[in-house]
Amino acid sequence: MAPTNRSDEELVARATAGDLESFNQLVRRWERPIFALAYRTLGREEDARDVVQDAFLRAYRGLPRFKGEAKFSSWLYRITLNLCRDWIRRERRAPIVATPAGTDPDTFADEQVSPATSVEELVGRRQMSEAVAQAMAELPEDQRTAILMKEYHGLTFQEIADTLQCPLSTVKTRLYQGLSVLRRRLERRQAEQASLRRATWEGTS
Amino acid sequence: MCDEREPLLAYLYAESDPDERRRVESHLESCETCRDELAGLRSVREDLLAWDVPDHESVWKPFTPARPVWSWRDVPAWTMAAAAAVMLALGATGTVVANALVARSAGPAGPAPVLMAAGVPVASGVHDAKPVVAIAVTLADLAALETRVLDEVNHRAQPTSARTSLSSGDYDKLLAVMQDLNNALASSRGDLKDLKARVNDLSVTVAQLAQSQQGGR
Repeated sequence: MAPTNRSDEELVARATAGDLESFNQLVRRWERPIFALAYRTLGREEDARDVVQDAFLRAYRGLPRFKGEAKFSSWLYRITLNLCRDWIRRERRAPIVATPAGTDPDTFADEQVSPATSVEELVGRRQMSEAVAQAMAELPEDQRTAILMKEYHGLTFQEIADTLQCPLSTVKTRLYQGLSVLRRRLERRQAEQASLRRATWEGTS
Repeated sequence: MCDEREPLLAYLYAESDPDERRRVESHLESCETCRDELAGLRSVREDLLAWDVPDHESVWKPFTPARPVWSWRDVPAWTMAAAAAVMLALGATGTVVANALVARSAGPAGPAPVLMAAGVPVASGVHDAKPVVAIAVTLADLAALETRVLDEVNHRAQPTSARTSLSSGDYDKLLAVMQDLNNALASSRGDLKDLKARVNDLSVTVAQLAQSQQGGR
């Protein structure tokens, strides 16, 4: 087994020269982030898994043409986003809202990670996860992608610009607009929920 | 500064240079509007943390080294035709997309294709353009290719002197065919899980063969 602390650049060079284990290492290192990106873009596990498989096969085939001008991860993200875009166009619809499996509080109780986490907190977190997924799915694609890259993959503005091949100022504009829309939608939802809770409380007291 | 959102955004993500950071901090001390704006953006960032991704098992079959040697004459004829057609389409248009349909039953003329893939030039519009290449793959074709490829993987113990090694260009064509099949499957409808799994497995194996062939030079 080869050392696992090699940089992406070293592994790419070795894989390009025919070292299969180096490419396997790149896959092990990047499969989880690539799956997360595909899942949050498409909203369905099965499709995300297909995209992951296809992305690495394409990356593997494209290694001889990868010149290292961008980071390997940026290149891989771009391949993944292109595959997701193809998928969305092919299906001719917006991303599916990924809903957590089950909404039964009894099921949630089994998932408590610490005794301090109440069922109510767990339910609240699930609902927030769903609300975020819903709000993100409704964003224009370019704003959603910029937020995904920044918030869930920790890329710098410049790295996002490199990945999406667009100007730095465009990245910032998309991010800002996307965050502003999300903020309004999530605040509105929280206000609605608060009012619903009040109504329920008044109805039962 | 209230009209400039870029400095505030850079400050939010700690990407300001020191001078800009000081300028933003100084502004925030005196501007309630921007303080509220920043608090709102921080709050939405916290909300975003709630969006979980389900655990998933790896979908990747690790590459393992193999040293295959085989002959084009053992590859089904449709593969050669498809490879040539795909390469032609790639050369003419830069790229292709695949549309697929699944035949419902075997016709009287022979085994039904399980998959028909039509490459369409993207540049001129997916829906308007006429297909420039079409391949039809029967289950027998797929099985023949699977057998041949698997045989190749397991064939290392046999004498190789009578066999002719493929060029890397040949492998590129074969890989292109696999890509085309994958694309066609991805865009097709119906329950094709088994077929997808078979073509995916075959793609990985072909990629391994191609890579080990390249490495063996």
